[in-house]
Amino acid sequence: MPEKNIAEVQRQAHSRMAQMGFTFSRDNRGFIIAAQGYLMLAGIGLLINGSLLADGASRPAFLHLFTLGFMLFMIYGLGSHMLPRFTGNPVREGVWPWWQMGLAHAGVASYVAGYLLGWHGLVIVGALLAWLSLAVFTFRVWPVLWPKKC
Amino acid sequence: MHKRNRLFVSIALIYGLLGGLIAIVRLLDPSLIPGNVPRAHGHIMLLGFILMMIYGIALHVLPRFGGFPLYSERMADWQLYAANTGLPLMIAGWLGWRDMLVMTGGLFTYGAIVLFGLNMILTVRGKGSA
Repeated sequence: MPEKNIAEVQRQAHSRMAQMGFTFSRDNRGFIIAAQGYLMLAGIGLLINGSLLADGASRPAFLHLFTLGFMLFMIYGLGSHMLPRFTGNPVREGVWPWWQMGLAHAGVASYVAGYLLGWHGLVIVGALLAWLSLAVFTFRVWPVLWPKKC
Repeated sequence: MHKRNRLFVSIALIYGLLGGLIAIVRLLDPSLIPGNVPRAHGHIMLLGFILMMIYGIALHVLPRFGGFPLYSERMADWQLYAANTGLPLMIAGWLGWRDMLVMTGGLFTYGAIVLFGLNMILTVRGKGSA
C-alpha cells in the first residue's frame, strides 16, 4: 500500500477511535503529558543526590515531584479516562478538569519551590492547592462511582 | 464495575484527602496532631490512596485483559476487609505511639497484599472457573 494511503488509513482509524471515545480527551492528554514531565524533573534528584529519598532539604521536593507530580497526575489522567468507561457513567467535565489541572500544577510548583527556596509559607500554599486539586478530582469522579438512581 | 471495586476506588480517594489533610495540618502546626505524623501520612498516601486505587482498578481490568474471570470473588472481598482493617490500625498505632497496633495492622495489610497477589496470579494464569 502506498505511504500516502497508509497515512490516510491511520488518520481515519484515529478519527474513528476518537469518535467512539477510546482516545484521551484534551484534559486527560494534558495530565498524562505533564506526569512525564514531572517524572523527568523528579529524576534530577537522582542525579543531584544519588537517591530520590536522599537526606537533606531537597528530599521532600524531589520525593513530591515523583508522588504529586508523576503518580498523582497519572491517576488523574488515567482515572478520569477509564472510570467512566468501566462504569458507563459520565465524569464531570466543563471547567472542572481545567481547575483541577491548574490547582495541581500550581500546587506542585509552589510546594517544590517552597522546599528548595526554604520558604515554609510557599510549601503550605502548595500543599493546600494540591489538596484542593484532589478534592476537585474526587468531586468529578464520585458520580461516576456512585450515580444517582433515577 | 463491581461494587467492591468501586468501594476500593472511593476509599482510595477518601484516604488521599485524609492523608493530604493531616500533612497540611502538620505543616501549619506540628503540635496539633500527636504521634509520628510523617510516617502516618506516607503510609496513608501509599497504602491508602495509591494501593487501594490499584486494587480497585486492577481487580476490574486484569481479568478482562487476561481473558479469564477473577479467580476468587471471595478472596477479593476479604482483601477489602483486611486492607481496611489493617491501615486504620497502623494509623492509630503511629498517632498513638502503640507499636502493637502498628504490627497488628501491618499483618492485616500484608494479608490483603497476599490475597490480591495470589488472586491476580491465579486469574491471569487462567486457573478460574471458566
